[in-house]
Amino acid sequence: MMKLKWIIPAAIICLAAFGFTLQTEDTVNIEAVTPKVGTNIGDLAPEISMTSPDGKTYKLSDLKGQIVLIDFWASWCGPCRRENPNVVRAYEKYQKAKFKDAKGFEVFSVSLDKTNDRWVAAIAQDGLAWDYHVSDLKGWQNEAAGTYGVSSIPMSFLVDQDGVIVAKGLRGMALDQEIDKHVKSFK
Amino acid sequence: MGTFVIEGGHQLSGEIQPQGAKNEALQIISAVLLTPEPVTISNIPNIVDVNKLIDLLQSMGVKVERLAPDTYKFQADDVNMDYLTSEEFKKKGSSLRGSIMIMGPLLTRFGRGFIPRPGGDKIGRRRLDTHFIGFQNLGAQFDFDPKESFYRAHADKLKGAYMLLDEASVTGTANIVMAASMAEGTTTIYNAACEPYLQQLCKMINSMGGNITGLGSNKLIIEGVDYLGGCDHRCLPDMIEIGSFIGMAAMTQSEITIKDVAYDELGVIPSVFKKLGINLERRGNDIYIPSQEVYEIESFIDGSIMTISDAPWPGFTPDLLSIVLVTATQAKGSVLIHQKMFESRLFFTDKLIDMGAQIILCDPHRATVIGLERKQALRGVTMTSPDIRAGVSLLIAALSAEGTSTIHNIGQIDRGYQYIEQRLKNLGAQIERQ
Repeated sequence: MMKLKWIIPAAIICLAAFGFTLQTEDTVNIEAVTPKVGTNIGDLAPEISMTSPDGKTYKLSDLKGQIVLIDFWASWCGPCRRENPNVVRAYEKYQKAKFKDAKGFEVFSVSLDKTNDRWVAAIAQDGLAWDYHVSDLKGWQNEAAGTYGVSSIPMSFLVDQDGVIVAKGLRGMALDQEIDKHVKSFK
Repeated sequence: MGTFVIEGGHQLSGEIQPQGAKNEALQIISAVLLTPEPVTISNIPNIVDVNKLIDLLQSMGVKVERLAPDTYKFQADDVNMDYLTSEEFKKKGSSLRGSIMIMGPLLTRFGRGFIPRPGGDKIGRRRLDTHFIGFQNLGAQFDFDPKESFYRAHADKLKGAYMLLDEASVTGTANIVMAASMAEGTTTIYNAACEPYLQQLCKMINSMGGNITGLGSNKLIIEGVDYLGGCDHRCLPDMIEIGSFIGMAAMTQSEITIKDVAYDELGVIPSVFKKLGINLERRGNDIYIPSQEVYEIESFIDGSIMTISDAPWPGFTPDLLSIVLVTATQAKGSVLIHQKMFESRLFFTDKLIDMGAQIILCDPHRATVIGLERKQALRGVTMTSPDIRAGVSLLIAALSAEGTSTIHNIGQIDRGYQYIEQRLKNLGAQIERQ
């Protein structure tokens, strides 16, 4: 009888401890799969909400489920303009791609322009045919550039279907190499 | 060298724009050598050291175009390597501390680099060790010839390596980062400097097509790439100026707004000034400082006297310690200023004592300031600026003092602060250059 008296509480303690252990592990796992918001690779890309030349508000989060190239540029930035054909080429190429987990590929262009006219003219001139063009027309003081710590352009961030930053500063063929990692096949 | 005559005791008011950061500009301008493509840099401060570096690049064949007072376009598509062994380069390069920063880009892009031996005491031997050891780790070979007036280095192709730096030198880290950016394979720099201006350089190289991770930490990982392209870059505002203006506002009881300060990049600077009792306020990207008659130095939680000391980033920058010191002279309460990283920077306190400040200089590293609490103002005196940071501290003291002060040797102030008297006049300061 004396023994039983001890065994029951001991069993309860064991069970409780075991239960707690399981719970702790669960919590840890959940933390591990939910990245923090930030601008490093592996972080959740901060939200951008800004207006297009025709006054529509676009949000980065609208594009969840797709692979997104966030591209910081400006009409006055020569190196950006020289890089634009590469972005256009990639845009056309990956419109025709099927992705492993994502629904598609989109470009989200944030302009550090100060005047609407020059911005719109450059979009047309360089044939940046996608819809997602946004700016607050504050130049280097652009709010999203501040959030993303952008002090040099061109600067890009590649974001996966879950909104996680998977690569940064992609130029030339480095862009294709990164996007290819998410492609299942070409249509 | 020039003299400022300052009539003190006037309250200032208005907005002031900090200049671009000098220490960032020196690195960023050197990095234009990494690419044959055009690079445009804005918010470049118009000060001697920066202009000398731009001049040096121009002499090397880099095309330089000034697009605006603070904006330059550079293109290093036709660099004249022969110039680097000339007498003229020897003269120009050895008088400029920043000139060592061109070595990393030259080595990685052209496979060789030269740098005149620094003349005089401008750069101690020790300071360059981090640079040279870093280059050697990447496979560069140095030819030391005691008869020659140049350090020469060459490498067919730099190769990535792991390195643990002896000291987290900012310029050393920057130079190694630039060299590693186009080396073969991966370079890991541990105990790397991590201050914002170095992060800016890494961001710039990433924007050019480089691959650097670990920004902001003391472990940088650089994947070498074959080619870097052009970019447009904007320098951060100078945190030393921002800190100086905070101190100036408090000392002169002025209401000042410091514009576009990139607040998130200021680290502990605002909180250190808050410890002196200054009610500064973040307003968007600006700092607003109200006019305050009294600011009271906090004491530690156990009631002991506040200590403010310097440390490598993210600690408090040694360059602002003299500003904190001068600001404390009119505070309520006492503070111990502990300058750990440099010696002899506190000797200017005897000028402040001449002006009526209550300071006990304990030793070359420590000074205790007993705040006057505005019971009496500092007195205007004639003094000579010993170095750049002390120069501005004395300038702030003079602006708050009763009567007229004269500061000689202001070339020291001009080395770090562009158009300083015009900008202070715009706030209502009575200051004349003679």
